[in-house]
Amino acid sequence: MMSSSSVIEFLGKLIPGYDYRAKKSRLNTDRSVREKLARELKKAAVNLKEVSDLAYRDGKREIVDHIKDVLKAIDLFVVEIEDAPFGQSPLFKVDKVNDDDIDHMIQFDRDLVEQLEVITKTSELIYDYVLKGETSDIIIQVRKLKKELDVMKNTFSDRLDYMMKR
Amino acid sequence: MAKEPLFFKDTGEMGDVFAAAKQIIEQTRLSRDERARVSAITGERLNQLTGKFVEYDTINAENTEYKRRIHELRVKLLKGELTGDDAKKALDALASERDALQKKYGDLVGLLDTQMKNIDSELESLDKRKLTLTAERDQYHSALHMEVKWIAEGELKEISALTETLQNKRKSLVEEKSLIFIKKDELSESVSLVDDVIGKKSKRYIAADDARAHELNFIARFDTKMHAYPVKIFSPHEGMTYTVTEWKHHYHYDSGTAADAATKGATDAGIPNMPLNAGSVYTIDEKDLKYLGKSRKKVVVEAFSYCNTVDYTDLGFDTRMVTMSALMSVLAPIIQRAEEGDYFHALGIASPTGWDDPAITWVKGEDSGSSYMSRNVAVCLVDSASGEVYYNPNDLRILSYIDYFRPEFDLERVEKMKKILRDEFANAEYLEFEKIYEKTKEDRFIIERAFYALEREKVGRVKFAEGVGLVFLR
Repeated sequence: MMSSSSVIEFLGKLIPGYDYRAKKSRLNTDRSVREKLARELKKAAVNLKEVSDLAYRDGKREIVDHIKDVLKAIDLFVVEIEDAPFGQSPLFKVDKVNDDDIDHMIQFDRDLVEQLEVITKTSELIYDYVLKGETSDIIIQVRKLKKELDVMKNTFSDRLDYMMKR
Repeated sequence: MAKEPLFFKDTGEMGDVFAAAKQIIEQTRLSRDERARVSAITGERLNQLTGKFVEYDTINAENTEYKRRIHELRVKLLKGELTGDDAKKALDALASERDALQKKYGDLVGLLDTQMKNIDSELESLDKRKLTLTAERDQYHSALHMEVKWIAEGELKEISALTETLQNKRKSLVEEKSLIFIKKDELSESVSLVDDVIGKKSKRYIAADDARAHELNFIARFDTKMHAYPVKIFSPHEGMTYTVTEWKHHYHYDSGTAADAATKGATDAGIPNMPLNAGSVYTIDEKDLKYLGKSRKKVVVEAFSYCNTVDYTDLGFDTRMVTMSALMSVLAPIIQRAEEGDYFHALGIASPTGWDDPAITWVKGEDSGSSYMSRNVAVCLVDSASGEVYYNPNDLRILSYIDYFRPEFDLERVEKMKKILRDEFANAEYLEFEKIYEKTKEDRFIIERAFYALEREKVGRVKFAEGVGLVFLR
């Protein structure tokens, strides 16, 4: 289990200016986190798009369909992230937020970033295995990726709920 | 016929891709953390290891003050302001100060040794880390591990920069250590500076005017020889001889402090009458490529005069021969620069008061060739008053330069030899070339030219005798 300071350090390295303590930086931090999530998801989408193109070239329609599902889910998720109610949370309106709320936000962000890292890396790995020709279980892997994406979506929804209910 | 799949060949399974992804992420994180940790520790250690010794400056200041007092004592003694007994008492009073300084320098050497050991062990641990990182960098070839590779590469670059900094620091510590030894030697000799005056051991008295004249004479003769084109310059590093028909890099210099003193002590005519420790330098530079690239020094030929300028300023004369420790303190920075630039530096150093026996023995290599101090530097010493030249006859690097540093021109040497031959011939029926050579140790071509010159002057005739060689007879 990472300590709170090391979580902040970890996030600080990935997202410059990460800080929920001051009111003026809270909005920017939230925006930066969401931009980071969207950007990384697009990277994963690019990898999967490449795999889909190769599958199409080899006539593997079934694989193309499964990847299409994931790509659609990513697209929707990216829109959800980018269009999330921005700045309407009471958390962004008060000057002082209690430490518990900050800890919760940090925990959500950390979970999201970690899940995102796994999704991006898995998409890279799948692409790598396709290039090596080791593809017999690709559909299972693509479905697993979709499941991980669903988990991430849920975490993001929980984060939004938490922010709005404060 | 169905098209053969190019990628989706199903030759194997992907396995647990998520577990692999998590492992790679974790590994990257660990590498990043480890790098940050090592970087912080190394940075801290480096600060400790490359920090300056405060003690060094303090001890040097004390040493300068001690030297100033010894010099004052010597000046007063020479000017007759102090009796021998008083000087002895004053010298005894300074003994404890000298011992304390020597002890401090000794302690400093111990400190330097410890620091060098620390640097060595740090270099060793950096080497180990380098091996680990190289293995980490080369272990993965997949694009997936790019980040791990980049982190390793970044740290490897940092390590090579750190290693260079530490090696440079170590080099400078070695130099500092050798300078400390020179200073310790100077301290040991400091008593003799006054003792010699009390015991009237000084062999030679050279006035400032004479010293300046010797200096000008030495440099002017050297310059004349270096401009007698074509000049042959031997480069032992390259194993070749350059034939110079024009000097592109040549300059004169003198020591600033001595120059100031000389100006202060100038005669009415406004001409400085103090020796300036003047020097003349000729260099051969070559470009890395034939026409392009950076120009690098290959050979440096330098002649300079070395005097105790402080004595000339304070007393108007000097009686001290240049000692071994003074010679070493002059040579140390020259060796350092030549080794850094990796060029060959041929040096001719002239002293009007001469050189003490240890310096002469050393340069002649009589103690089993000990004058070989550096691959990059060869030296010959010149007594500019007597004209004697001291060098190691077994050091092939300096032999071709001796004639440039020798204070006499060939014609003068022939004239001198003619005089010797005339004196010898007055008491003998004939002169054997080999015996003259054994006796005078002069170059063979000079003796030969003297033989034929005397023959032209009808003093005698030259004949070749079987089994004896060249003979000069009536």
